[in-house]
Amino acid sequence: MEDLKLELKEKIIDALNLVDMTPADIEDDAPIFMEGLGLDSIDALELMLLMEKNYGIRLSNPAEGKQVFKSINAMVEYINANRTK
Amino acid sequence: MSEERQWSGKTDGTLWMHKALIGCFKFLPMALLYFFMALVVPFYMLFNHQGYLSIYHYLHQRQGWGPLKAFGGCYVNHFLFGASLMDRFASYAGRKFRVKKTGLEVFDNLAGQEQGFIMLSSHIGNSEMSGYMLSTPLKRMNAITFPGEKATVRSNLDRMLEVNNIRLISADGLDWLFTLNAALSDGEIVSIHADRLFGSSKALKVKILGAEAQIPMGPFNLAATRCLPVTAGFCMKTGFKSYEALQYRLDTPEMETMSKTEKMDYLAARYAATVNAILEKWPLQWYNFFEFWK
Repeated sequence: MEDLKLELKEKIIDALNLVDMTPADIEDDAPIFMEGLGLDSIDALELMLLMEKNYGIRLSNPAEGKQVFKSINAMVEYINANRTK
Repeated sequence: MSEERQWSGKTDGTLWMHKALIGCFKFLPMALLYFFMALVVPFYMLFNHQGYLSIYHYLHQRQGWGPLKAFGGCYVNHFLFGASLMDRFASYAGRKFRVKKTGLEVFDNLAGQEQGFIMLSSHIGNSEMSGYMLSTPLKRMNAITFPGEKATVRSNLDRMLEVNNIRLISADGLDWLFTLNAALSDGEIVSIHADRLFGSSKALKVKILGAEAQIPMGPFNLAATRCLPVTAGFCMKTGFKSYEALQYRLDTPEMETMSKTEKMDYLAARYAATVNAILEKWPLQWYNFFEFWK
């Protein structure tokens, strides 16, 4: 679980080019969008692609997607339950 | 560019006004409706200083027109914009327009391939008309629209575009991003405006008509990240009942060796060059009614 959290944070930093951040700067339960990491619509699409490419998870249901992107913890939980890669 | 300085991107008027307008187009001659609009345009300009001034600045500073010519150009610009909107309602009422097609084989070729692609649209000419002219039986096209479009416009658009296998996606909140993501993963086409910031404030700097302007990063980021083909599509009014639909391929084989950032900049520069060429030929069909260049 912790390994996946670290891996995911590193992939997010890389995909979104968050050059000034380290995995330790991303809180596990903080919201990913707006007040948390401050990500926007472009970043959301990047994260969807990240989920698809790395874990074989295709997010197309908005209600489900919003739950997944609630926090790092929510993402990790969803990846563990649904990954195909 | 502040929110309040931007045109909302929605069609003005109430529900009953739209229905009445569609009814008018069924029975009244177009020439009469155009004539009526020609009388209304000066009043519209008078009460909409912001849009009028931005077009004056565009014609005077960017197109290099003299003050008098630029002022006259503002009137023609507003008239043509109104005519484009009227043509839209005329289409809802079942009227047909002559269309010259230029480069549409680019679109057809890409539509025949397994991979999806992105078609960049602009607030130049009558982009909505493109939808009626591009038939995509093999691949669904998803057109991203501004949220809050009036119900009449929305339902008529849905009805007309559905025939051509085009789906409208309203860019409201975060929900539309999931629909967009699924569409691209399914190899569908996405049509998105590339000349106005929405959903994200991230922008790319390009030169259009000799001056620096900001265009949204989103469409270019999407194309670069997913390595998707990109076209720019325009539909220009060329006469009373005629249009020219144009398609340009923006991605090239040289992009294969580029980094993501280089790809975005390259595509944005190619898009800007295409916009330049269109505006040189049709300077009066620029419909970004805000100060596009800062």
